Amino acid sequence: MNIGIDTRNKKLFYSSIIFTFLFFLLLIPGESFAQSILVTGNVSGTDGQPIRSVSVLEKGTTNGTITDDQGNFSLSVSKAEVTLAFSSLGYNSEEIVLNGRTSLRVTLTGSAAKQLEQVVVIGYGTQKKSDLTGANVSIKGADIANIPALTATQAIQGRVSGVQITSSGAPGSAPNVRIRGVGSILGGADPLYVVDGIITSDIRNINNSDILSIEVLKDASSTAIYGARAANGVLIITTKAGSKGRFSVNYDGYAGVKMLVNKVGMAEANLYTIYSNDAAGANVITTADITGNTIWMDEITRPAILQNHNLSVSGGKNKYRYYLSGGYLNEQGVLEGNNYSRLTLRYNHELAATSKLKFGNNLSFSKYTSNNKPYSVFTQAYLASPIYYAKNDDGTYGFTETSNVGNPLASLDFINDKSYGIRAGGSLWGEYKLTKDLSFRSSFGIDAEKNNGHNYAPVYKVSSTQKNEVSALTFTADSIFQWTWDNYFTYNKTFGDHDLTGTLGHTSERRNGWTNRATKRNVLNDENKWKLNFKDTVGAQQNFRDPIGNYFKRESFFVRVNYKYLDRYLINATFRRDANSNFSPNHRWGNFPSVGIGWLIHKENFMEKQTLFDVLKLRASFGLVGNDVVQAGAFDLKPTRNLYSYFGTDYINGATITSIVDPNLQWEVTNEIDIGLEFSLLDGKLSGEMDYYHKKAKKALYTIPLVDLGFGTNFTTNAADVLNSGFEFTLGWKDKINSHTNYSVGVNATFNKNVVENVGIGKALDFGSLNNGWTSTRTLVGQPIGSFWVFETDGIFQNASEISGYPHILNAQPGDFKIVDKNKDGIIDNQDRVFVGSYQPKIYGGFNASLNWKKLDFGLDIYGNFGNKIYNAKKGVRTGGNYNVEYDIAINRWQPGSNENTYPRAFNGVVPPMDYFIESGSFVRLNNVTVGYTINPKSNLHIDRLRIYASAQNPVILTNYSGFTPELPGNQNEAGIELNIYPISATYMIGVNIQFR
Amino acid sequence: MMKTKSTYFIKIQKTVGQMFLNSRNRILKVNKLVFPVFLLIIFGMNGCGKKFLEEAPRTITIQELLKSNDGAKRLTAAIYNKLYAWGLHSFSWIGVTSIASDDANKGSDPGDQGTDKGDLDNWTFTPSAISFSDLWINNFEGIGRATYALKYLPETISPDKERYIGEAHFLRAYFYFNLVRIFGGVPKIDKVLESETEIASASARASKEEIYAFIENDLNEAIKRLPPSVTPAENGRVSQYAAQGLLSKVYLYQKKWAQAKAMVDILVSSGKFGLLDDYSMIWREAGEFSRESIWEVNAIGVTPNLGIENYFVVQAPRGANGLGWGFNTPSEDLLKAYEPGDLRKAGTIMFAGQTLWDGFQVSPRAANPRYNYKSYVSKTKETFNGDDINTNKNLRILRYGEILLIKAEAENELGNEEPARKALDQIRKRAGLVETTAAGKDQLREAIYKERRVEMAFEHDRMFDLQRTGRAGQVLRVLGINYVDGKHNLFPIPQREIDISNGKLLQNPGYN
Repeated sequence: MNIGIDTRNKKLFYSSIIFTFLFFLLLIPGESFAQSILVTGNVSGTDGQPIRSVSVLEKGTTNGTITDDQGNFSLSVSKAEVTLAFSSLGYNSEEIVLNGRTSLRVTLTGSAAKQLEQVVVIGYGTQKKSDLTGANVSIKGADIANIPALTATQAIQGRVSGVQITSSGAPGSAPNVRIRGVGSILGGADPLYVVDGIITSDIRNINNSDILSIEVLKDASSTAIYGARAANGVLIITTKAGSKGRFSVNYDGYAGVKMLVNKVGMAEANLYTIYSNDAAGANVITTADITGNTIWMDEITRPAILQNHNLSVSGGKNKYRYYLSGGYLNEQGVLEGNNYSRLTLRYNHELAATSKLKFGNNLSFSKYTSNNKPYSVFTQAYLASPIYYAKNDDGTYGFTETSNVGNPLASLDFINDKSYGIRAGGSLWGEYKLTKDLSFRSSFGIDAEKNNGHNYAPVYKVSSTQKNEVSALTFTADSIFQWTWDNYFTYNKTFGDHDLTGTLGHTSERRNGWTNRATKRNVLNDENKWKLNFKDTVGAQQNFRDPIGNYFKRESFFVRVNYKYLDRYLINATFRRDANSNFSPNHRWGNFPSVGIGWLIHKENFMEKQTLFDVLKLRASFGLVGNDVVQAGAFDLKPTRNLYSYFGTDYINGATITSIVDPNLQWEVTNEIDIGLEFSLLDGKLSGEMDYYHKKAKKALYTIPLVDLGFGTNFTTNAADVLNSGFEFTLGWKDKINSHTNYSVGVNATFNKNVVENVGIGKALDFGSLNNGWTSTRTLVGQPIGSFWVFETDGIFQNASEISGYPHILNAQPGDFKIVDKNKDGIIDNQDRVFVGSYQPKIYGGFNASLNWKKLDFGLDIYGNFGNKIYNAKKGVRTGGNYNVEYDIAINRWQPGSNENTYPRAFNGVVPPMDYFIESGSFVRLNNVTVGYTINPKSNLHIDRLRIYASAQNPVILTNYSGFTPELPGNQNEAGIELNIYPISATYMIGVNIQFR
Repeated sequence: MMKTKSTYFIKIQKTVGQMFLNSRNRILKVNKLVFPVFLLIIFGMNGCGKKFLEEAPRTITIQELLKSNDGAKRLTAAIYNKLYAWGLHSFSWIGVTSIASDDANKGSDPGDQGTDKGDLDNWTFTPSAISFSDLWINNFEGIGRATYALKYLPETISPDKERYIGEAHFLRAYFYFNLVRIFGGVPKIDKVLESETEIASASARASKEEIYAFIENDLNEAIKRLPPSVTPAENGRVSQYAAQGLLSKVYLYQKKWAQAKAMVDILVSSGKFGLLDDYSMIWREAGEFSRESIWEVNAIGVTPNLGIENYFVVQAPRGANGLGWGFNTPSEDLLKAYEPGDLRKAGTIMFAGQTLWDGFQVSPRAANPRYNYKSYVSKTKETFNGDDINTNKNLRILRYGEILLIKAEAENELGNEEPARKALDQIRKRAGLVETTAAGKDQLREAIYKERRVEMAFEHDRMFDLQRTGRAGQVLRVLGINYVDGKHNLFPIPQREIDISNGKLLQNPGYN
């Protein structure tokens, strides 16, 4: 059964790749440029950002063009004295007399009222921003292209209200993205990504330089068209398509260096020895054992090099547009030996075959290689004994028998873990105008992935506990294939004061794939040999094959109606009916409606007299959206496999049922309410948007713990209600001081309150393992998801009599924490634990500023969050012998007679979760600061525009947190715990943007 | 240079473009058809939508398993699989049965507590200690798997299904025997629980007596169905004798002396079993499934290797030239328990600085003076594929040496001094000792207890042995442990289970 699917899958996979390449070869018709006098130029806004699609017209003629994504244009004019007219939606028009100039820089002043006229991408269509009834934010690709980030989401941190981004410092990793709070306890909490119409959960294959725009859809009015997958918000990414009228070649590149921001001071060899001996109550480490003094964090980290290069070619004529690009990114991790590289290719094309028929494609290919090193090495370096050198003079690795933490450097060096793969996909689409008002669009997209990896453990021996006697290789190969087929009609008609737009469509989708894994021992230490064929069994090779986690078939119908009366009253209704094969046949279909209303107050007659407001818009929406990210077939009672045992020499793959399931398992449904106000004042100098939202997830997945009687530890069902409510705003000010100086400042903030309202028959869920038998978080009614749940302490026991007079745990000794007996029953147990906040910030937001002065540009971007807590867990893991300890803790430790009341005695045992480990996670960080200089080169260099810039990413962070980083992404029930983390780093870089002609 | 390139580029565009324009006319002709075709497909898909959304299961379903040729075997193998589990037979089991007893100390470095093992050694543990939850969860998981097997095995197509049913009964009895010895009475699971409500209502504790009756019943069901012996190709599977042997031990724990004697006599008179001449060979790979063996967990050290997870590493020498974590070290008290000339001491204890049977030298600078020799695996003279987490070390659960000791004890309690003495002396003789000098029932009882200790040290029996005979307090208090009679004769039910049960599952006395 399995083999059949595999072969077909493989064929599909390869044919899809060939298919992709064929399309890369299909270049588009071209015509040579008629020459007379060529005028080139660049159009930007007062914020210095280029403006695309500005119409440039030779006045009095029909000769014209539009600007491309970088705001550039070139136009052949008949005479040197003509006047060029520039106009664009959202900007005041401008006319410029050439007077013999062939190169122009044009700044258009914005008109907020007019900016509302710009068209933005929405689900299955586009719409004028003014007609939206939902909370949508649009980000231009140009704003993120020069930020050193792998993914677009990482680059928009702090720029969009209601969107919280938490990144890890690990190269190749995707950040946590939470839109308007954490809406699910056990289902997926990540937003939905729609890249050129294809729905995906991973956008690491998308080159930021290829992005034209990102639309963040935050409320039900805008997201409900994506039905059962919309509850966590939607990000629509549109890639560049080239622009008509100009052929251009662009190079964007940057290179820089990354460095660890924070270091934690550890005890050096002598202090460590004193502390360890004190903890053990014996001389377990003697001076003879001390052979060195190592700061491990320095041994395992490095200044890391980062570089990114992008080359694109774009252009178009009346009937076609094209965009072709190649990008290469190489990012080293600050952890030695850790790096990630990615190659991306993209070919987008659009052709108007007739006046009625248009078709095109968006095709992309990416290839990545990642040399992985385990994050746990950071923890290992934190715990490792400092009393020996990382490497001895003879090149061997140092070690000590007095600690069971291995040499961290050796751990890094002996890990050969590499993953590499390709991803190819995109969509082919056609659009046909059936009548003047009705058009039909069909789009077929694929997404094919092939990922490989090897993990090779060579034979080595550092010490008797850090060694490997027989080499071992694990080789993995995944192949994933997904297709999506959208078909929909769009109708648009204006009848007098009534304007009606409707969309009706159907979509079906399939995702399928398998993971193969093989393991073998005694493999040569030669990277060329680290591949295994899954059919081999020689040398006791074992082969495993499993379905990928998220396979599905989906089918949906959707409809949207926008009605506008008198150009000022808006109603927008959407409805989607969704089915997903991952639910039982009786619970497969669901309905997701939404309705939004809007009122463009500034268009009312009574507003004509006032001059303060350019724009004043009120909107409100309500809808139901779903979250169906659950494990495939989770409703189905199926045997667990691979429960091996041996009968004689017969290796038997045991299989049986190991837990109960809920056969009626369903998606989560979120009721969303949003009320928003948009405004613009003082000729567009001040603009803003504010929203109140109330998102209540009902029937959220929840684990019901079971008494362990051999039928499962717990089971998952729809039991919980989670509320996220909050307020968010964005304010911007921009102004032009004089003809060569303009500036803008922006600020946004989100106040979110997350609370679990109900868990049905469930109990508290404990997560956040501390690797010592204790857990640190609890999800419970009345608290935010993943709240820290710990013992409260009240200083330190100074002597035995204090202990006997105070409730205490067994074996409490002077120097231990006084744990507060909250329920006053005389016993210290879990009933005494208290909630002390969660990793979720109460407020987060950003501030950004830009200044353009002549050819200089300056940008500043600050991000912060407040009111969140961090569990500094690495301090509390002391179960092994003689772990290293932070300098402060060691030097200030309680000692008999010291009267120390903050730091406990030296101790190596299990430490329960206590408020001692809880720290404030508030921070303000300078996200990015950039200074750029634009050179207008001499025309004979064939360069239109050359900008060089220097930038620093994350250079400064203000926080009271004592660990490596206050940014700690993680699963929604156990984020904010610093245990095995990859600290965030600062990047200093220089870059260049060049446009050739 | 740029110019030439773009000209070239334009040329390509023109050529390809021409191809496009040629095909355009054809497209125009078809596109009148395109729209109806799309419509058809959309509505067509809706029509067969139900079928489209059916996703074939990716992994085997229970029905497929039952109908497959090896379905019964796989269902049963899944129960045996639990015997290799870390939480069932490794660190936690070692902690509760050995480290807590007078035979062993925590070992390792003073700073390394092995989570709760220091607390077990000192009897300062709480109901939250991980060892108790490990043992609770894993033994119940074994019970769950056995119960599923008992439900489904009759539906399988295996001609051998009766035997598999017997094995499921046996294994369930073993898991319950572990639980009743650790916790006393526990919830009694006699059918598959299918929902949260069924599990909740089954979570109250049955009495210790009810559980023992349930174990006896399971073992009797097993005896009816199991073959007398297993072939070498079936090593690791349980036999009728194994069931009878285990039942004799179950009777022993209940002081049902006559029944215990009746059961051991079946094994003794069968003539199938005997003592190995060399005591130390029992725990070597060469001594696997010997004539002394009645039941052992069949661990395999060649790829695909499968062992009791970390059983070797946890107990292997620590420190200089170490092999493992160095827990569960033989106590001074155990060392002194051996009579002069007892050969078993050398088979049970290895010393720092000693050269072992395979030539490996334990460093004189090892972290502890002594280690458990019975858990030692030779990486050079036994099968070893480099993975020391899963080694070939079979866990000897039941062997003839113990059967003789059960016989001795049962006979003595029944007043049959002579056969008791005879069985005891068989054990002593192999140990290189002279016949026992104990006279009279009481002296002989003490002699048997002492013999049990040295014969079965580190065989996961000592702690329970002390508790079942009521001697734990008196023995451990001498060693400075604050053993509270009436509390510590049972270990605490894991706190998590108590909390979740909503008051249904009650804690053992003294732990609340």
